[in-house]
Amino acid sequence: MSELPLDDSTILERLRLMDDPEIGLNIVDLGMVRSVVHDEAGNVSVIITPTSPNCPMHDQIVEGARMMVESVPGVKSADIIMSFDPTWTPDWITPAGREFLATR
Amino acid sequence: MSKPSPAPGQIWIALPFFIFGFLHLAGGLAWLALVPTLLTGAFYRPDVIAFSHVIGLGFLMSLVAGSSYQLLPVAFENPLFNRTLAKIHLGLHLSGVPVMVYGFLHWHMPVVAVGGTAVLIGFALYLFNIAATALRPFRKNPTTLGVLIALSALAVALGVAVWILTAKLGFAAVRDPLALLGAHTFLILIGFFLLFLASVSYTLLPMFLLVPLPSTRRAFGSIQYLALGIALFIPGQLIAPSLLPFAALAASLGLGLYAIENLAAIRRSPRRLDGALRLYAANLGFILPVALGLLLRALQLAGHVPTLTLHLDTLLFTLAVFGTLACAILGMGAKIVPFLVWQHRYAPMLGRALVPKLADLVYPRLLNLLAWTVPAAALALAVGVTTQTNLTVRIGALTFLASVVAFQFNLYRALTHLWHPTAKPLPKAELRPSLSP
Repeated sequence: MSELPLDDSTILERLRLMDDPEIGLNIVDLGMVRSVVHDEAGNVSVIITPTSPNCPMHDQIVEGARMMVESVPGVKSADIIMSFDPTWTPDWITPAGREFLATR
Repeated sequence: MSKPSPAPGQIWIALPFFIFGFLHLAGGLAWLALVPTLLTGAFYRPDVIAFSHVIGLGFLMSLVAGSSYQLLPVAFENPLFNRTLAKIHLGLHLSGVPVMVYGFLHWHMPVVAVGGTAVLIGFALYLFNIAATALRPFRKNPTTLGVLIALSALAVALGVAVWILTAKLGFAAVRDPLALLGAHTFLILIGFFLLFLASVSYTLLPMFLLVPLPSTRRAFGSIQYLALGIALFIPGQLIAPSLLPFAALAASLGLGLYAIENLAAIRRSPRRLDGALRLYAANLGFILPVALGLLLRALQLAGHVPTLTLHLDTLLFTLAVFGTLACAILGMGAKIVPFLVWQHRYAPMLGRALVPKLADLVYPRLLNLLAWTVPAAALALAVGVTTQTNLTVRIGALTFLASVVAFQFNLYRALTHLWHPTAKPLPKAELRPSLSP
Protein backbone atom coordinates (compact mmCIF):
# COMPACT_ATOMS: atom_id res chain seq x y z
CA MET A 1 0.00 0.00 0.00
CA SER A 2 1.17 3.53 -0.78
CA GLU A 3 2.44 5.62 2.07
CA LEU A 4 0.75 8.75 0.67
CA PRO A 5 -2.50 9.76 2.39
CA LEU A 6 -5.78 9.03 0.68
CA ASP A 7 -7.11 12.12 -1.07
CA ASP A 8 -10.61 12.93 -2.36
CA SER A 9 -9.13 14.25 -5.60
CA THR A 10 -7.52 10.87 -6.22
CA ILE A 11 -10.95 9.28 -5.92
CA LEU A 12 -12.43 11.87 -8.27
CA GLU A 13 -9.66 11.22 -10.78
CA ARG A 14 -10.46 7.53 -10.58
CA LEU A 15 -14.15 8.18 -11.16
CA ARG A 16 -13.21 10.26 -14.23
CA LEU A 17 -12.42 6.94 -15.90
CA MET A 18 -16.12 6.12 -15.84
CA ASP A 19 -18.08 7.64 -18.72
CA ASP A 20 -21.77 8.01 -19.28
CA PRO A 21 -21.86 5.69 -22.30
CA GLU A 22 -24.45 7.65 -24.26
CA ILE A 23 -23.14 11.16 -23.59
CA GLY A 24 -19.50 10.09 -23.82
CA LEU A 25 -18.46 12.33 -20.93
CA ASN A 26 -17.15 11.10 -17.58
CA ILE A 27 -19.49 11.19 -14.61
CA VAL A 28 -17.37 13.74 -12.72
CA ASP A 29 -17.36 16.40 -15.45
CA LEU A 30 -21.01 15.62 -16.08
CA GLY A 31 -21.66 16.79 -12.51
CA MET A 32 -23.09 13.48 -11.36
CA VAL A 33 -20.64 13.07 -8.47
CA ARG A 34 -22.03 15.36 -5.78
CA SER A 35 -19.65 14.61 -2.93
CA VAL A 36 -16.77 12.41 -1.92
CA VAL A 37 -15.86 11.97 1.73
CA HIS A 38 -13.55 9.53 3.46
CA ASP A 39 -12.41 8.80 6.96
CA GLU A 40 -8.93 7.96 8.21
CA ALA A 41 -9.64 4.24 8.08
CA GLY A 42 -10.23 4.45 4.31
CA ASN A 43 -14.00 4.19 4.31
CA VAL A 44 -15.25 6.28 1.38
CA SER A 45 -18.71 7.61 0.76
CA VAL A 46 -19.71 8.97 -2.66
CA ILE A 47 -23.03 10.61 -3.53
CA ILE A 48 -24.05 10.32 -7.16
CA THR A 49 -27.04 11.97 -8.83
CA PRO A 50 -27.98 10.57 -12.28
CA THR A 51 -28.71 13.08 -15.03
CA SER A 52 -32.23 11.70 -15.27
CA PRO A 53 -34.48 9.94 -12.77
CA ASN A 54 -35.31 7.62 -15.69
CA CYS A 55 -31.68 6.64 -16.20
CA PRO A 56 -31.71 2.88 -16.88
CA MET A 57 -28.19 2.47 -15.53
CA HIS A 58 -28.67 3.16 -11.81
CA ASP A 59 -27.56 -0.23 -10.55
CA GLN A 60 -24.62 -0.54 -12.92
CA ILE A 61 -23.39 2.97 -12.07
CA VAL A 62 -23.49 2.22 -8.35
CA GLU A 63 -21.66 -1.06 -8.77
CA GLY A 64 -19.15 0.36 -11.26
CA ALA A 65 -18.37 3.38 -9.08
CA ARG A 66 -17.93 1.13 -6.06
CA MET A 67 -15.44 -1.03 -7.95
CA MET A 68 -13.61 2.05 -9.22
CA VAL A 69 -13.30 3.63 -5.77
CA GLU A 70 -12.31 0.37 -4.08
CA SER A 71 -9.46 0.00 -6.57
CA VAL A 72 -7.80 3.13 -5.17
CA PRO A 73 -4.93 2.23 -2.78
CA GLY A 74 -5.87 2.97 0.80
CA VAL A 75 -9.61 2.56 0.30
CA LYS A 76 -11.04 -0.04 2.63
CA SER A 77 -14.68 0.21 1.61
CA ALA A 78 -16.81 2.35 -0.68
CA ASP A 79 -20.41 3.31 -0.10
CA ILE A 80 -22.05 4.70 -3.24
CA ILE A 81 -25.28 6.51 -2.56
CA MET A 82 -27.65 7.28 -5.44
CA SER A 83 -29.44 10.52 -4.67
CA PHE A 84 -32.30 12.13 -6.59
CA ASP A 85 -32.89 15.09 -4.29
CA PRO A 86 -32.02 17.65 -5.48
CA THR A 87 -32.43 16.54 -9.06
CA TRP A 88 -29.48 16.87 -11.41
CA THR A 89 -29.25 20.10 -13.37
CA PRO A 90 -27.05 21.03 -16.37
CA ASP A 91 -25.59 23.78 -14.15
CA TRP A 92 -23.56 21.06 -12.43
CA ILE A 93 -21.59 20.26 -15.61
CA THR A 94 -18.00 21.45 -15.23
CA PRO A 95 -16.54 23.99 -17.70
CA ALA A 96 -14.44 21.19 -19.22
CA GLY A 97 -17.60 19.10 -19.56
CA ARG A 98 -19.46 21.97 -21.21
CA GLU A 99 -16.69 22.41 -23.73
CA PHE A 100 -16.75 18.69 -24.49
CA LEU A 101 -20.53 18.67 -24.98
CA ALA A 102 -20.49 21.73 -27.21
CA THR A 103 -17.84 20.38 -29.54
CA ARG A 104 -18.50 16.63 -29.76
CA MET B 1 -32.78 9.65 -1.19
CA SER B 2 -32.48 6.67 -3.47
CA LYS B 3 -35.03 4.68 -5.39
CA PRO B 4 -34.87 1.32 -7.06
CA SER B 5 -33.74 1.19 -10.65
CA PRO B 6 -36.31 -0.17 -13.12
CA ALA B 7 -35.30 -3.56 -14.42
CA PRO B 8 -33.13 -3.17 -17.53
CA GLY B 9 -34.66 -4.16 -20.83
CA GLN B 10 -34.23 -7.56 -22.28
CA ILE B 11 -31.91 -7.45 -25.27
CA TRP B 12 -33.28 -10.76 -26.55
CA ILE B 13 -36.81 -9.37 -26.68
CA ALA B 14 -36.12 -5.90 -28.07
CA LEU B 15 -33.39 -6.82 -30.53
CA PRO B 16 -35.36 -9.40 -32.60
CA PHE B 17 -38.21 -6.88 -32.92
CA PHE B 18 -35.69 -4.29 -34.15
CA ILE B 19 -34.00 -6.59 -36.66
CA PHE B 20 -37.38 -7.82 -37.96
CA GLY B 21 -38.53 -4.19 -38.29
CA PHE B 22 -35.45 -2.93 -40.12
CA LEU B 23 -35.56 -5.89 -42.53
CA HIS B 24 -39.21 -5.12 -43.32
CA LEU B 25 -38.37 -1.47 -43.95
CA ALA B 26 -35.58 -2.46 -46.34
CA GLY B 27 -37.82 -5.04 -48.04
CA GLY B 28 -40.68 -2.56 -48.33
CA LEU B 29 -38.43 0.10 -49.86
CA ALA B 30 -36.96 -2.38 -52.36
CA TRP B 31 -40.51 -3.34 -53.33
CA LEU B 32 -41.43 0.34 -53.68
CA ALA B 33 -38.40 0.98 -55.90
CA LEU B 34 -39.53 -1.88 -58.15
CA VAL B 35 -43.23 -0.95 -58.09
CA PRO B 36 -43.55 2.82 -57.52
CA THR B 37 -47.27 2.64 -58.30
CA LEU B 38 -47.65 1.36 -54.74
CA LEU B 39 -47.64 5.06 -53.86
CA THR B 40 -48.77 6.64 -57.12
CA GLY B 41 -51.61 4.29 -58.08
CA ALA B 42 -55.01 3.56 -56.60
CA PHE B 43 -54.71 2.67 -52.92
CA TYR B 44 -57.46 0.05 -52.54
CA ARG B 45 -55.42 -2.72 -54.17
CA PRO B 46 -54.14 -5.99 -52.69
CA ASP B 47 -50.47 -5.12 -53.23
CA VAL B 48 -50.90 -1.63 -51.73
CA ILE B 49 -52.64 -3.04 -48.67
CA ALA B 50 -49.94 -5.71 -48.35
CA PHE B 51 -47.27 -3.00 -48.71
CA SER B 52 -48.89 -0.77 -46.09
CA HIS B 53 -48.83 -3.71 -43.67
CA VAL B 54 -45.16 -4.45 -44.45
CA ILE B 55 -44.42 -0.87 -43.45
CA GLY B 56 -47.06 -0.39 -40.73
CA LEU B 57 -46.90 -3.78 -39.04
CA GLY B 58 -43.56 -5.16 -40.17
CA PHE B 59 -41.52 -1.99 -39.73
CA LEU B 60 -43.27 0.54 -37.49
CA MET B 61 -45.08 -1.78 -35.10
CA SER B 62 -42.04 -4.03 -34.66
CA LEU B 63 -39.85 -1.06 -33.79
CA VAL B 64 -42.46 0.40 -31.47
CA ALA B 65 -42.97 -2.94 -29.71
CA GLY B 66 -39.23 -3.51 -29.29
CA SER B 67 -38.79 0.04 -28.00
CA SER B 68 -41.76 -0.37 -25.69
CA TYR B 69 -40.32 -3.38 -23.89
CA GLN B 70 -36.97 -1.62 -23.55
CA LEU B 71 -37.92 1.99 -22.87
CA LEU B 72 -41.36 2.13 -21.32
CA PRO B 73 -40.40 0.42 -18.04
CA VAL B 74 -37.70 3.09 -17.77
CA ALA B 75 -40.10 5.90 -18.67
CA PHE B 76 -42.80 4.58 -16.31
CA GLU B 77 -40.19 3.90 -13.57
CA ASN B 78 -41.77 0.46 -13.15
CA PRO B 79 -40.36 -2.94 -14.11
CA LEU B 80 -41.98 -4.69 -17.08
CA PHE B 81 -45.10 -6.46 -15.82
CA ASN B 82 -44.36 -9.81 -17.46
CA ARG B 83 -41.42 -10.80 -19.67
CA THR B 84 -42.93 -14.12 -20.72
CA LEU B 85 -45.90 -12.31 -22.28
CA ALA B 86 -43.42 -10.12 -24.18
CA LYS B 87 -41.65 -13.22 -25.52
CA ILE B 88 -44.96 -14.76 -26.61
CA HIS B 89 -45.85 -11.48 -28.32
CA LEU B 90 -42.51 -11.59 -30.12
CA GLY B 91 -43.18 -15.11 -31.41
CA LEU B 92 -46.74 -14.32 -32.52
CA HIS B 93 -45.70 -11.09 -34.22
CA LEU B 94 -42.76 -12.60 -36.08
CA SER B 95 -44.84 -15.52 -37.33
CA GLY B 96 -48.13 -13.69 -37.93
CA VAL B 97 -47.00 -10.63 -39.91
CA PRO B 98 -45.49 -12.48 -42.92
CA VAL B 99 -48.58 -14.70 -43.14
CA MET B 100 -50.83 -11.66 -43.04
CA VAL B 101 -48.83 -9.85 -45.72
CA TYR B 102 -48.89 -12.97 -47.92
CA GLY B 103 -52.67 -13.21 -47.45
CA PHE B 104 -53.20 -9.56 -48.43
CA LEU B 105 -50.90 -9.86 -51.43
CA HIS B 106 -52.89 -12.81 -52.79
CA TRP B 107 -56.17 -11.36 -51.45
CA HIS B 108 -56.85 -14.59 -49.62
CA MET B 109 -58.79 -13.50 -46.54
CA PRO B 110 -58.71 -16.84 -44.67
CA VAL B 111 -54.88 -16.62 -44.75
CA VAL B 112 -55.08 -12.99 -43.56
CA ALA B 113 -57.35 -14.21 -40.75
CA VAL B 114 -54.82 -16.86 -39.66
CA GLY B 115 -51.89 -14.41 -39.61
CA GLY B 116 -54.11 -11.65 -38.26
CA THR B 117 -55.26 -13.82 -35.36
CA ALA B 118 -51.65 -14.44 -34.31
CA VAL B 119 -50.84 -10.74 -34.63
CA LEU B 120 -54.03 -9.78 -32.81
CA ILE B 121 -53.34 -12.09 -29.86
CA GLY B 122 -49.80 -10.66 -29.75
CA PHE B 123 -51.22 -7.13 -29.69
CA ALA B 124 -53.63 -8.06 -26.91
CA LEU B 125 -50.71 -9.37 -24.82
CA TYR B 126 -48.70 -6.24 -25.64
CA LEU B 127 -51.56 -3.91 -24.66
CA PHE B 128 -52.15 -5.75 -21.40
CA ASN B 129 -48.45 -5.97 -20.55
CA ILE B 130 -47.65 -2.30 -21.22
CA ALA B 131 -50.83 -1.00 -19.57
CA ALA B 132 -50.15 -3.17 -16.51
CA THR B 133 -46.58 -1.84 -16.40
CA ALA B 134 -47.84 1.76 -16.57
CA LEU B 135 -50.37 1.21 -13.80
CA ARG B 136 -48.16 -0.34 -11.11
CA PRO B 137 -48.30 2.38 -9.84
CA PHE B 138 -49.60 5.04 -12.23
CA ARG B 139 -47.36 8.11 -12.26
CA LYS B 140 -49.07 11.02 -13.90
CA ASN B 141 -46.73 12.50 -16.49
CA PRO B 142 -47.14 13.27 -20.20
CA THR B 143 -45.41 10.03 -21.25
CA THR B 144 -47.51 7.65 -19.18
CA LEU B 145 -50.78 9.43 -19.96
CA GLY B 146 -50.00 9.67 -23.69
CA VAL B 147 -48.92 6.04 -24.02
CA LEU B 148 -52.08 4.83 -22.28
CA ILE B 149 -54.25 6.89 -24.67
CA ALA B 150 -52.20 5.63 -27.64
CA LEU B 151 -52.77 2.05 -26.47
CA SER B 152 -56.51 2.75 -26.31
CA ALA B 153 -56.43 4.06 -29.89
CA LEU B 154 -54.55 0.94 -30.95
CA ALA B 155 -57.18 -1.25 -29.29
CA VAL B 156 -59.97 0.56 -31.17
CA ALA B 157 -57.98 0.36 -34.43
CA LEU B 158 -57.63 -3.39 -33.95
CA GLY B 159 -61.37 -3.65 -33.33
CA VAL B 160 -61.99 -1.82 -36.61
CA ALA B 161 -59.54 -4.16 -38.39
CA VAL B 162 -61.40 -7.20 -37.05
CA TRP B 163 -64.69 -5.67 -38.21
CA ILE B 164 -63.29 -5.14 -41.73
CA LEU B 165 -61.88 -8.67 -41.85
CA THR B 166 -65.04 -10.36 -40.60
CA ALA B 167 -67.00 -8.41 -43.21
CA LYS B 168 -64.59 -9.61 -45.92
CA LEU B 169 -65.14 -13.17 -44.70
CA GLY B 170 -68.90 -12.64 -44.88
CA PHE B 171 -69.60 -12.71 -41.14
CA ALA B 172 -70.47 -9.02 -40.70
CA ALA B 173 -71.99 -6.18 -42.67
CA VAL B 174 -70.19 -2.95 -43.49
CA ARG B 175 -71.98 -0.02 -45.08
CA ASP B 176 -68.87 1.89 -46.15
CA PRO B 177 -65.69 -0.20 -46.12
CA LEU B 178 -63.54 2.74 -47.30
CA ALA B 179 -64.68 4.86 -44.35
CA LEU B 180 -63.75 2.01 -42.00
CA LEU B 181 -60.38 1.63 -43.71
CA GLY B 182 -59.83 5.38 -43.28
CA ALA B 183 -60.74 5.13 -39.59
CA HIS B 184 -58.34 2.20 -39.15
CA THR B 185 -55.49 4.09 -40.87
CA PHE B 186 -56.08 7.31 -38.89
CA LEU B 187 -56.26 5.48 -35.58
CA ILE B 188 -53.05 3.59 -36.29
CA LEU B 189 -51.05 6.49 -37.74
CA ILE B 190 -52.18 9.48 -35.68
CA GLY B 191 -53.92 7.82 -32.74
CA PHE B 192 -51.24 5.27 -32.01
CA PHE B 193 -47.90 5.91 -33.74
CA LEU B 194 -47.74 9.73 -33.64
CA LEU B 195 -49.25 9.98 -30.17
CA PHE B 196 -46.85 7.29 -28.96
CA LEU B 197 -43.93 9.17 -30.52
CA ALA B 198 -44.93 12.47 -28.91
CA SER B 199 -45.49 10.82 -25.52
CA VAL B 200 -42.22 8.92 -25.45
CA SER B 201 -40.26 11.97 -26.67
CA TYR B 202 -41.16 13.79 -23.45
CA THR B 203 -39.05 11.33 -21.47
CA LEU B 204 -36.39 10.36 -24.01
CA LEU B 205 -35.45 13.68 -25.52
CA PRO B 206 -34.74 15.49 -22.23
CA MET B 207 -32.71 12.43 -21.16
CA PHE B 208 -30.57 12.55 -24.31
CA LEU B 209 -30.33 16.35 -24.42
CA LEU B 210 -29.50 16.79 -20.72
CA VAL B 211 -32.32 19.26 -20.12
CA PRO B 212 -35.52 19.16 -18.09
CA LEU B 213 -38.78 19.03 -20.06
CA PRO B 214 -39.19 22.69 -21.15
CA SER B 215 -42.93 22.86 -20.42
CA THR B 216 -44.87 20.04 -18.78
CA ARG B 217 -48.07 22.00 -19.45
CA ARG B 218 -47.34 22.19 -23.17
CA ALA B 219 -46.49 18.48 -23.25
CA PHE B 220 -49.78 17.60 -21.53
CA GLY B 221 -51.54 19.99 -23.93
CA SER B 222 -50.20 18.16 -26.96
CA ILE B 223 -51.42 14.83 -25.56
CA GLN B 224 -54.85 16.24 -24.75
CA TYR B 225 -55.32 17.83 -28.19
CA LEU B 226 -54.24 14.64 -29.94
CA ALA B 227 -56.61 12.62 -27.74
CA LEU B 228 -59.44 15.03 -28.55
CA GLY B 229 -58.66 14.67 -32.25
CA ILE B 230 -58.85 10.90 -31.99
CA ALA B 231 -62.09 11.02 -29.99
CA LEU B 232 -63.77 13.33 -32.55
CA PHE B 233 -62.43 11.47 -35.57
CA ILE B 234 -64.27 8.19 -35.06
CA PRO B 235 -67.82 9.60 -35.08
CA GLY B 236 -66.69 12.07 -37.75
CA GLN B 237 -65.48 9.34 -40.07
CA LEU B 238 -68.36 6.95 -39.50
CA ILE B 239 -71.49 9.05 -38.93
CA ALA B 240 -70.93 12.83 -38.78
CA PRO B 241 -68.42 14.17 -41.35
CA SER B 242 -68.95 17.72 -40.06
CA LEU B 243 -66.87 16.73 -36.99
CA LEU B 244 -63.84 15.86 -39.11
CA PRO B 245 -62.39 19.40 -39.48
CA PHE B 246 -62.56 19.80 -35.68
CA ALA B 247 -60.88 16.43 -35.22
CA ALA B 248 -58.13 17.41 -37.67
CA LEU B 249 -57.72 20.82 -36.03
CA ALA B 250 -57.33 19.29 -32.58
CA ALA B 251 -54.86 16.66 -33.84
CA SER B 252 -52.89 19.33 -35.74
CA LEU B 253 -52.69 21.51 -32.62
CA GLY B 254 -51.43 18.51 -30.67
CA LEU B 255 -48.79 17.79 -33.30
CA GLY B 256 -47.78 21.46 -33.37
CA LEU B 257 -47.31 21.57 -29.60
CA TYR B 258 -45.26 18.38 -29.79
CA ALA B 259 -42.94 19.97 -32.37
CA ILE B 260 -42.62 23.20 -30.35
CA GLU B 261 -41.85 21.27 -27.16
CA ASN B 262 -39.18 19.17 -28.88
CA LEU B 263 -37.60 22.22 -30.53
CA ALA B 264 -37.53 24.05 -27.18
CA ALA B 265 -35.69 21.09 -25.61
CA ILE B 266 -33.19 21.01 -28.49
CA ARG B 267 -32.56 24.76 -28.22
CA ARG B 268 -31.87 24.57 -24.47
CA SER B 269 -29.53 21.60 -24.65
CA PRO B 270 -25.89 22.15 -23.74
CA ARG B 271 -25.12 19.26 -26.04
CA ARG B 272 -24.25 19.47 -29.72
CA LEU B 273 -26.62 17.15 -31.56
CA ASP B 274 -25.01 13.96 -32.82
CA GLY B 275 -26.09 12.20 -36.03
CA ALA B 276 -28.75 10.08 -34.33
CA LEU B 277 -30.35 13.08 -32.63
CA ARG B 278 -30.22 15.09 -35.87
CA LEU B 279 -31.97 12.25 -37.67
CA TYR B 280 -34.57 12.19 -34.90
CA ALA B 281 -34.97 16.00 -35.07
CA ALA B 282 -35.59 15.79 -38.84
CA ASN B 283 -38.99 14.28 -38.02
CA LEU B 284 -40.11 17.69 -36.75
CA GLY B 285 -39.72 19.17 -40.23
CA PHE B 286 -42.53 16.93 -41.46
CA ILE B 287 -45.00 17.85 -38.71
CA LEU B 288 -46.28 21.03 -40.36
CA PRO B 289 -46.99 19.34 -43.75
CA VAL B 290 -48.67 16.43 -41.93
CA ALA B 291 -50.84 18.82 -39.91
CA LEU B 292 -51.79 20.90 -42.97
CA GLY B 293 -52.50 17.76 -45.01
CA LEU B 294 -54.68 16.43 -42.22
CA LEU B 295 -56.70 19.65 -42.10
CA LEU B 296 -57.10 19.77 -45.88
CA ARG B 297 -58.18 16.14 -46.05
CA ALA B 298 -60.71 16.63 -43.26
CA LEU B 299 -62.15 19.68 -45.03
CA GLN B 300 -62.41 17.63 -48.22
CA LEU B 301 -64.18 14.77 -46.45
CA ALA B 302 -66.57 17.22 -44.80
CA GLY B 303 -67.32 18.69 -48.24
CA HIS B 304 -65.95 22.19 -47.49
CA VAL B 305 -63.27 22.21 -50.21
CA PRO B 306 -63.14 20.45 -53.56
CA THR B 307 -60.99 17.36 -53.95
CA LEU B 308 -57.71 18.74 -55.29
CA THR B 309 -56.01 15.39 -55.57
CA LEU B 310 -57.18 11.84 -55.10
CA HIS B 311 -53.81 11.03 -53.56
CA LEU B 312 -53.93 13.21 -50.47
CA ASP B 313 -54.41 10.10 -48.32
CA THR B 314 -51.28 8.57 -49.86
CA LEU B 315 -49.37 11.83 -49.43
CA LEU B 316 -50.37 11.98 -45.77
CA PHE B 317 -49.30 8.35 -45.33
CA THR B 318 -45.96 9.12 -47.02
CA LEU B 319 -45.25 12.23 -44.96
CA ALA B 320 -46.29 10.66 -41.67
CA VAL B 321 -44.64 7.26 -42.19
CA PHE B 322 -41.50 7.95 -44.24
CA GLY B 323 -41.04 11.50 -42.96
CA THR B 324 -42.03 11.89 -39.33
CA LEU B 325 -42.12 8.33 -38.04
CA ALA B 326 -39.19 6.86 -39.98
CA CYS B 327 -36.85 9.76 -39.11
CA ALA B 328 -37.85 9.61 -35.44
CA ILE B 329 -37.67 5.83 -35.20
CA LEU B 330 -34.38 5.49 -37.08
CA GLY B 331 -32.89 8.31 -34.98
CA MET B 332 -33.96 6.69 -31.73
CA GLY B 333 -33.04 3.25 -33.08
CA ALA B 334 -29.52 4.53 -33.68
CA LYS B 335 -29.39 5.25 -29.95
CA ILE B 336 -31.28 2.27 -28.60
CA VAL B 337 -29.66 -0.65 -30.44
CA PRO B 338 -26.05 0.31 -29.55
CA PHE B 339 -27.23 0.91 -25.99
CA LEU B 340 -28.81 -2.57 -25.84
CA VAL B 341 -25.51 -4.05 -26.99
CA TRP B 342 -23.53 -1.88 -24.58
CA GLN B 343 -25.80 -2.71 -21.67
CA HIS B 344 -25.57 -6.42 -22.38
CA ARG B 345 -21.84 -6.59 -23.09
CA TYR B 346 -20.18 -3.71 -21.26
CA ALA B 347 -22.39 -2.68 -18.35
CA PRO B 348 -21.23 -5.68 -16.24
CA MET B 349 -17.62 -4.54 -16.86
CA LEU B 350 -18.24 -1.01 -15.57
CA GLY B 351 -15.70 -0.21 -12.86
CA ARG B 352 -13.62 -3.25 -13.78
CA ALA B 353 -12.38 -2.20 -17.23
CA LEU B 354 -12.22 0.78 -19.59
CA VAL B 355 -15.30 0.20 -21.70
CA PRO B 356 -16.09 1.90 -25.03
CA LYS B 357 -18.73 4.61 -25.34
CA LEU B 358 -21.80 4.18 -27.53
CA ALA B 359 -20.21 6.39 -30.19
CA ASP B 360 -17.32 3.91 -30.37
CA LEU B 361 -19.73 1.11 -31.31
CA VAL B 362 -20.90 2.74 -34.56
CA TYR B 363 -19.64 5.06 -37.32
CA PRO B 364 -20.83 8.49 -36.14
CA ARG B 365 -20.03 10.12 -39.51
CA LEU B 366 -22.33 7.66 -41.26
CA LEU B 367 -25.15 8.71 -38.93
CA ASN B 368 -24.40 12.37 -39.71
CA LEU B 369 -24.81 11.56 -43.40
CA LEU B 370 -28.05 9.63 -42.82
CA ALA B 371 -29.50 12.62 -40.98
CA TRP B 372 -29.55 14.29 -44.43
CA THR B 373 -30.27 11.40 -46.79
CA VAL B 374 -33.26 9.90 -44.93
CA PRO B 375 -35.35 13.13 -44.80
CA ALA B 376 -34.25 13.96 -48.36
CA ALA B 377 -35.49 10.55 -49.52
CA ALA B 378 -38.78 11.03 -47.65
CA LEU B 379 -39.16 14.42 -49.31
CA ALA B 380 -38.52 12.87 -52.74
CA LEU B 381 -41.22 10.26 -52.04
CA ALA B 382 -43.66 13.02 -51.04
CA VAL B 383 -42.84 15.01 -54.20
CA GLY B 384 -43.27 11.86 -56.30
CA VAL B 385 -46.69 11.18 -54.76
CA THR B 386 -47.79 14.81 -55.17
CA THR B 387 -46.71 15.01 -58.81
CA GLN B 388 -47.62 11.37 -59.52
CA THR B 389 -44.13 10.75 -60.93
CA ASN B 390 -42.99 7.16 -60.72
CA LEU B 391 -39.37 8.09 -61.40
CA THR B 392 -39.25 10.46 -58.43
CA VAL B 393 -40.82 7.85 -56.16
CA ARG B 394 -38.26 5.33 -57.43
CA ILE B 395 -35.36 7.74 -56.73
CA GLY B 396 -36.76 8.43 -53.25
CA ALA B 397 -37.20 4.72 -52.52
CA LEU B 398 -33.69 3.85 -53.70
CA THR B 399 -32.12 6.71 -51.71
CA PHE B 400 -34.11 5.62 -48.66
CA LEU B 401 -33.12 1.99 -49.22
CA ALA B 402 -29.42 2.90 -49.52
CA SER B 403 -29.73 4.90 -46.28
CA VAL B 404 -31.42 2.01 -44.48
CA VAL B 405 -28.77 -0.45 -45.68
CA ALA B 406 -26.07 1.93 -44.40
CA PHE B 407 -28.00 2.26 -41.15
CA GLN B 408 -28.17 -1.52 -40.80
CA PHE B 409 -24.45 -1.78 -41.52
CA ASN B 410 -23.84 0.65 -38.67
CA LEU B 411 -26.03 -1.41 -36.36
CA TYR B 412 -24.25 -4.58 -37.43
CA ARG B 413 -21.00 -2.94 -36.37
CA ALA B 414 -22.54 -2.36 -32.93
CA LEU B 415 -23.76 -5.96 -32.80
CA THR B 416 -20.23 -7.28 -33.44
CA HIS B 417 -19.35 -6.05 -29.95
CA LEU B 418 -21.57 -8.83 -28.60
CA TRP B 419 -18.97 -11.39 -29.71
CA HIS B 420 -15.89 -9.12 -30.02
CA PRO B 421 -15.83 -6.86 -26.96
CA THR B 422 -13.13 -4.19 -26.97
CA ALA B 423 -12.82 -3.31 -23.28
CA LYS B 424 -9.32 -2.47 -22.03
CA PRO B 425 -7.86 -3.07 -18.59
CA LEU B 426 -8.10 -0.21 -16.12
CA PRO B 427 -4.85 1.62 -15.40
CA LYS B 428 -3.55 1.03 -11.90
CA ALA B 429 -4.73 3.62 -9.41
CA GLU B 430 -1.98 5.50 -7.61
CA LEU B 431 -2.11 7.96 -4.78
CA ARG B 432 -0.69 11.35 -5.62
CA PRO B 433 0.96 13.85 -3.31
CA SER B 434 -1.67 16.19 -1.97
CA LEU B 435 -1.77 19.40 0.02
CA SER B 436 -4.85 18.30 1.93
CA PRO B 437 -4.31 16.50 5.22
